[in-house]
This record gives sequence, structure tokens and C-alpha cells, in this order.
Amino acid sequence: MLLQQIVNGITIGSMYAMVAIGYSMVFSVLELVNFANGSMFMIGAYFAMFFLSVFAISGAKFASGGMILIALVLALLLSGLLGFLLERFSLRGLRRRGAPKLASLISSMGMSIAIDNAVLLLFGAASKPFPKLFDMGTIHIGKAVFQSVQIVVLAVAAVLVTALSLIIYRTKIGKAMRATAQNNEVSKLMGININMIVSVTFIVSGVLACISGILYGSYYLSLDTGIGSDFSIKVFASAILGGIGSLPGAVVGGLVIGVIETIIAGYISVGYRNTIAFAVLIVMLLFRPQGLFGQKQINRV
Amino acid sequence: MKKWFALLLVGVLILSGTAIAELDLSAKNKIAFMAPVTGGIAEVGRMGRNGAALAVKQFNEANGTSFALEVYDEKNDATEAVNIAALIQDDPSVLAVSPCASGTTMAVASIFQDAGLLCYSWAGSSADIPGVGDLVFSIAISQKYEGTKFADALVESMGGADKIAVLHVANDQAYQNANLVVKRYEELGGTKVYMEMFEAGTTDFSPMLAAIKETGATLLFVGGDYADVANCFIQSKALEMRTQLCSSGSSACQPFLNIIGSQANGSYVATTIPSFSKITLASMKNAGENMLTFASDFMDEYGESPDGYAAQAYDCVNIIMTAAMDKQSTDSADLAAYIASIEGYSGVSGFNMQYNNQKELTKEAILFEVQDGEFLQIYP
Repeated sequence: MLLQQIVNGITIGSMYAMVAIGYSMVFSVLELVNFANGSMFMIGAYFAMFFLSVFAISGAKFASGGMILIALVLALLLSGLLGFLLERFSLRGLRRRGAPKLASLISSMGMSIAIDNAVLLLFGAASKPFPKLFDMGTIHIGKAVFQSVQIVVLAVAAVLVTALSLIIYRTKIGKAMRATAQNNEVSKLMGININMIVSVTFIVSGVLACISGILYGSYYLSLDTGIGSDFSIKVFASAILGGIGSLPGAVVGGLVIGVIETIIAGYISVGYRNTIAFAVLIVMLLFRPQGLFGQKQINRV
Repeated sequence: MKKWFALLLVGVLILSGTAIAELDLSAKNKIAFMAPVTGGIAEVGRMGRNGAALAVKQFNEANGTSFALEVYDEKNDATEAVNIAALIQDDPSVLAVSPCASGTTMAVASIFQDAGLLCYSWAGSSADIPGVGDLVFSIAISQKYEGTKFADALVESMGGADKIAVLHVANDQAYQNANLVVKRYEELGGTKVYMEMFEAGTTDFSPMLAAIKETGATLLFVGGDYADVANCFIQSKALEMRTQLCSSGSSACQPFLNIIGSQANGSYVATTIPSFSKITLASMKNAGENMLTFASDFMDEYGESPDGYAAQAYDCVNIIMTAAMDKQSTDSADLAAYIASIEGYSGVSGFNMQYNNQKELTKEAILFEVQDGEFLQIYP
């Protein structure tokens, strides 16, 4: 049973990690906790479900792999666009006017509420089925059963983290992102287009949330409008645990939260499942506020 | 002979017409229907509202009355419900109030009891509802009886009791229901091997299911919202569990089947409310003509099959209007006296419905088995 619980935990943790990376990237660049990220995750999954139902599925049967790909790409594009619009219309104005960080934080909360209610209006409150995208059988190890979708989730998470690491640490735009994260003003003086970097960060964050949403739908085979808020707190705890602003930290944080909550739910009680995310949050903030991989900030007087 | 019979018929019609004319609804004709038509359980509110609206429309057409339905959106929020109750209790045109779930009903019941207004819940099954006062009732079966009836149905259908695992959503109703199922199951010779509660909206059941798989449970009873149950059943199939799956009544609906698809085949739904698809109704030996008519009228009116909530709202509002007609009164005490005396009611939301001396509603349990996207009755 332990092996089963660990693999289940890693699967959920991988999905947390992907959204937590988005959180961390936005925080690095703007020092903003984007509370709309959970809603982006939810709407991304709904976009995919919608496009799959329009383009790729006729009745209960899939049309073709190509059409599925088109549907998923459309969902990713729309999520990226939404990420861009979110920053452009709810945050950039505040930044330009030099509004306090708290105003941006509240604005992101407002956007989260707006997205959640838009989905409620468009798709209704009832839970929706999500098509089974990955059905390549199961693998048995002892009594444990692993689904092919779990392997897909782990593989996609690993590929994405590697690709993002390469982009951030090996490309010009990644360098610009890191520079913006270190010092906004100096980066501007060096000729970096800050607005463009922030927009790219939000687009990437939206796309990551959408990918995570698609994997979530494929794994659980159903969606409802509450999944974003449920996910948000776990993702936030993951980012804090790993060190908000740290990409590898977000990954480790997500995996640790996923595995711990699964083991606690399986061996102790489900009642403590959500508590563990808050407990981790409090303990980390008390004893290591910079998280496992974050760097301690020294404020000079 | 025919002449005399015709004259007698005319006489009866005139007398009944006179009786209708005597009930003055000009000052008090409004049924205040509280429903969560927005928010997380808007689907429940929408179905209930449609069921209630159909009842009022049909009753007025059949009886020439002028009952009116006024819907108040309480968003399944107790605070919102209390605010609405404050408005309703001051409205002299309100004949009766019909709140929704146990939580919101309990929040407003004492307000209406104190205001001398009939409070007839259309979905609240809390065992505490009837105790609030003599003007407070519910059309839903009391939690005190549902679980016991479910366990009896399951043991009889499965040919005996063995090992039961129970998962239930974290609320009073599901908790009480689950405990009653387990208590009765153990009385019938079974053993409880696992029991755990989960939060509403839970999507990941894998930790609990992996633990249940280890226990060798032969029956898994899940009490919760249809979406939670669907998630749980899908994941149990993914873990290749061989346990007989059974859920409580909220899963006896089309959205449950839409989510779970063919993976629901062979699973049971224990309920006290019929399901209204044509095939299901055909499988129900005791389905009355009124149930068939209700399903067909609802389909004509709204283009979809009704669910249990629509049926309960339909019965609830119908009983209020019938009570007013029968007692020729709009006084809440008279309406309450009529409701308390109901025995063997042939409604659309259950069989053999009656109120006991504690004002609690009891009715028969029904066990459905899901086969090819339909609920087929296997008990009684």
C-alpha cells in the first residue's frame, strides 16, 4: 500500500509543482503572489474540455490524435492569452501608477473571483466529465496498480521542468527574466523591456496552469468550478515550502506536499489532509521563511 | 339512471366549485420558495425551482386557483437565508415558506415558527427539523430512518452481510446516515472494516481507496454529492477494486451517469426517491401513473428529465396548496394540521410517504443498479 500511496502522491504533487512554478515565476518578477493562478488552472482545464468536445470527440469516441492535439493547443493558447490579459488589464495599470503591492494582490484576488464566476456562467455549476486522453493500460507492481496517465503526468512534469530550466538559465529571455527578478529598475536601464518580460511570465504561468489542468482532468476524469480554489492553497504551500521564487523549490515543494498529504490521508485520517498544507506553511514561515531552496534576503538599513 | 348520475355529477362539481370559490387567496397566495439558484449547488436550486413552478402551474390550471411561487435565491448560505427570512416574515401575502437544504432550513425555521408561518422544507433531511416547532416540516425522509432502510435493502439484495467500508461527506446528514447504515449492517451480521469522512468537493479519493482495498471490504458505501461519488467510483475502478459499490440517493441522477459513464455499471444507488428516466420508471414495479405523468410533463416543460430535488419540490408545493384547499384556509396552523395527518401519500418523490407522531417523514427505500447508463430497480 505504501508504494501505491507514494506514487499517487507524486502524481498529485507533480500537478501542484507545475502550477507552483507559475506562482514562483510571477513572484520572482513582480514580488506578487498571484491568487488568480488557481483559477487559471481551473479555466485551463475547462478550455481543454470545451475544445475537446468541439473538435476531437464525436459522442463518446475520439476523432483522431491530430484533432485532440489541435484542441489541446487551442486551450493552451487561450490560457496563455488569458494570462497576458490578466496582467495587461488588472496589474499593469497599478504598476504604472506605483500602487502598493497589496493593491496588485487584491486585484489578482478579484480576477480570480471574476474567472470563477465566468466559468460558472458559461459552463454551469454541475460537475463535468473530462475525456480519457491516456488509456494505455495499467502496470502492476505487487498489489499496487499504476495507471498510464500517472506515468504521463510524471513525464510531462519532468519534461516541462527541464525545458523551463533551460529557458530560464540558457536563453536570452530567461536571462532577462532573471535580471528583472533581481532588480527591476536596473534591468530597465540595461534596455530590458520590463512590460514584455512580465507579460511573457504571465503567459508562461497561464500555459503551465492549463497543462496542469489538462493533466488533472485526464487523471480524475471530471471537473468542477471548485478545483481552482482547492488547488490554490496546496500550490501556495508548495511554493512557500520550496522557497517562493525558486523553480526547483516549487517542484520539490509540490512533490513533498503531494506525497505527505496522500500518506497522511491513507494512514492517519483524511481530515488532516488539507491541514498538512497549512501546517507546512506555518512551520516554514516560522523557521525558514525563505523555504527549502530560497535565498535569505538581507534588508540593508 | 344516466340522467340521475349526470345530475349527481353536476351537483358534485357545483359543490366543489363552491368550495374553491370559498378559499380567498386575494390577500395571501404566495409560496416563498427558497432555493440556491446560484452558487456551488445551483443545479439543485434550478431543479427544485422548476419542480415547484410546474406544481403551481398545474395546480392553478386544474383548480382555477391563483397560487403564486416567489423564488428567493439563498445561495445555500445560512446568512443569506436568514436575511431573506427577515424579508419574507414581514410579507403579509406569504402563505407558506419552503426552504431548501438542512443547513439553511435549520437557520430559518425558528424565524418562521416565531412568525407563525408554515415552514415546509423541500430538501432538508436533518432529524432536528421537525423539532423546531409545530409549523416546521420537511418533505425529505428524516435522517433517523434512511440509513437503516438502506442497510436492510443492501443486505437483502446482496444475500447477506459481510465486510462494509464507508466513506461519507463531512456533514451532519451524511454522518448520521453512514452511522445508521453501519449500525444496521452490523446488527445483520456484517463487520465495519473502514469508515472515513471527506470534504465536499474532494476529487482525490486514492489514499482512502488504497486503504479500503487492503481491508478486503465486500461493500463500499459512499454517502455524498453525486460528483464526489462519481470521482470515488472512477478511482476505485482505476485501482481495480472488486468491492461492490453503493452510493446514497444523490447519485440517482443523469449528471452522475454523465461523469462516470460505463464505469458505473454494476454499482448500486440506495435512495428513497424514484429516478425519472423512461427505462428506470419501466423497471419500477411500483411506479404510479402520477410519476410517469410528472416525468413526461417536466420533460415537456423544461426539455429534460426531472431529478429527485425537482420531485421533492413538486410534492412539497403541491401538498401546501392541497392543504389550503382541503382546509379551506390560509392559516398556517390549519396547513400544518393537514400535513401532520398525511398517511400513505402518493407523491412523485417516494412511496408510502407518511408523517409519524414526531412529524418526521418516512417512506420506502429503493435500490437501483446501474446498467448501461440507466438506473434499474432491484429492491424492493
